[in-house]
Amino acid sequence: LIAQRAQLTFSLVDSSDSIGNMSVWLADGVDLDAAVAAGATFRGLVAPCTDAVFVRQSVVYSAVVSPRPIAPTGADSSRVGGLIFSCDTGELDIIELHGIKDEMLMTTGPGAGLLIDRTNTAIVALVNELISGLWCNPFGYDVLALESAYLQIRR
Amino acid sequence: MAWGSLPAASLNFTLEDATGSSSKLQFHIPVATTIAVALVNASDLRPLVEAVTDCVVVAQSITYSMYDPLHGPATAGSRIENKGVVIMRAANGRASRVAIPGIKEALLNPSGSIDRANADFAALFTGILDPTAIFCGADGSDLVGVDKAYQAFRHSTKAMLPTDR
Repeated sequence: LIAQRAQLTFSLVDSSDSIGNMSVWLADGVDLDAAVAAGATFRGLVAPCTDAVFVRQSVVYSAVVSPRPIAPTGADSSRVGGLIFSCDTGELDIIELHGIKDEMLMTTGPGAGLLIDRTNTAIVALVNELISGLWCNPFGYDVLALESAYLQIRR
Repeated sequence: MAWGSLPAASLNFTLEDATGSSSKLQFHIPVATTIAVALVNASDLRPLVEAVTDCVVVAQSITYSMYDPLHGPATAGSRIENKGVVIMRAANGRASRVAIPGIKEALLNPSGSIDRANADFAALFTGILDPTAIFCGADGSDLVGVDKAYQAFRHSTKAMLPTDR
């Protein structure tokens, strides 16, 4: 995994409610607090130069896998494993696993070929990680338990 | 203005299948998670994902976002397609580009170039080019000067067109 340097990205909105973006790169080793502070400084410098207004700021830490791996023949991202988790206070989280392996699906019973086998060791390991307390839904509620898991086809 | 963090940071894995089609797999972590811990969590999660998918993970990104729900109104008539493009020179001789959406007319010369003597423009690039600032080119080289500065227009997308057209 090769880490790229962090990037600050900004969204601005104009009088027609259209969104425009801009971005700047940050020096090596910049931590999140420094990046957020640099973002505030940058917004303060740009604001007098634009008629649009800032509405969003993100700090993005990216990395690429090198050498770039090649997917095996037959790997199909339109086959999606949909995992629905319950979260704190009745919230939900949805994880969409593109290219789900066939062997993750039930092979017998009424859900054969459609439902994901929750006893599969790889699924169990993934679910255990996601309910370990480290992960949450987009609203910050802890992921608690897998409620439903099935195959979707995206076309 | 009332800038606040989104409640969760996002971890995105970019997956690629046998046809080269890419897709995103998104997870979230509490926003208080430091980037160092988030990177460890991502490293722990990636092989677990790779075990259940035929696709391969080719990239990852971790994003912490803030927003301003109480932002003021944009200036009437402003258009984000109207860009102020600035090409900066890096210490290693390469170029780095930044484009300011909705550039103010007051910063422009009649030709469409940006008036580099304008106080607001000068203050912006004094700040960006300050040797103590943490902004840099894509390859990490320090930004040392402004090479070109001009107005440019991006075409409007369908979503940007007036709703009462």
